[in-house]
Amino acid sequence: MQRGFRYAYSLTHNRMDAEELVQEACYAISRLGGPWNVPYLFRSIRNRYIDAGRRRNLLQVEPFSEAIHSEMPDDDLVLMDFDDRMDEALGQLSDGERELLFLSVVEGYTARELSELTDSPRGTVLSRLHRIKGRLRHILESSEPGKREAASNG
Amino acid sequence: MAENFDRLDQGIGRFYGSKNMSADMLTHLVEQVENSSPEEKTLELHGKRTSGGLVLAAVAATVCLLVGFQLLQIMVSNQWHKDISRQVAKNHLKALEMEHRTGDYSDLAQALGKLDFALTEPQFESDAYRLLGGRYCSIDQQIAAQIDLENTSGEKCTLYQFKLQEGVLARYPQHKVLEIDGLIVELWQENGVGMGLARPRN
Repeated sequence: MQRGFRYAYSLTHNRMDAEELVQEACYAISRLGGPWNVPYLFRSIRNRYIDAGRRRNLLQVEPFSEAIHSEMPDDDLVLMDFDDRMDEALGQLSDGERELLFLSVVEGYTARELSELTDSPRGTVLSRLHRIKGRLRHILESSEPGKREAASNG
Repeated sequence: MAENFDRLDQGIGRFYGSKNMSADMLTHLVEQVENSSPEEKTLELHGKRTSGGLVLAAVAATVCLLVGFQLLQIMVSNQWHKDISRQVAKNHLKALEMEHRTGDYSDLAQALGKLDFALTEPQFESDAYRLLGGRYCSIDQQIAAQIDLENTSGEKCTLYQFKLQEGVLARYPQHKVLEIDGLIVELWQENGVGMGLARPRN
């Protein structure tokens, strides 16, 4: 269940939306009488998410060039610890990018499995993953306390 | 490049590893699963067909289902215990400054008057820990007391106390010890209050 929640969280980046998604997915599975396993739960969560996205027109993937220039608000982020900065940084990725990262890094999906899931060539998945990680690292580095202070002073 | 991505991967893993569904929601989902067993639907579909084989199959399936749910509940409980322990360990490592310094539990209980439970002195072995002070914090998304202690070796330990709501009282361990991030975390309950103690591994 918690793995399902984390997957849903990677899609929504919002606790309440993620819990709602898992609840809907569990309800759908229970209506069918199972099966109760992680891949099926993930698939059900993804289907519910896509349905919700179609309803709310939320399925948007930000172009790389635009997103990399997005700025974090100038507040007291200097004091944020790594988890807070990671939260902010992941929030700047698109839902699809977070999903790809989560399934690859946390769940250990192979590039082939991800290519089947996203219906993209394996090479595209690999280069996309590389690009997303590079972008995430860039966002994290630019939010490091020392660099943010220097940026705000300079 | 690869090394940096390794660190990044670890950070991503740690971030998502700390995200957990609330205990209430978990309980709700488990109840939802229990209340919609496939066997019930199967029997409804077959209506009056009550041959011996069908009854036996239904009984066997029900037994399997019950065992499955028991296992699921145990797994959910174990995961919840780990989640609580991680929060206890994480808060201990943050080593936030105490807001109220005192060596007396009654004084501390008075200072932390907004708690929704009666802060008490735990039943430690005598003189095992010396009280240093405390502050408010939160465990499992509810108000809790964070209590600074010092053991006989002079090491800092942190005790957390929080009210066990009715829905989770039975699932909170009577006594459980886990090792998290190189710390020993003990969970137990006293008079409806959940206790969590983080201490260095000896």
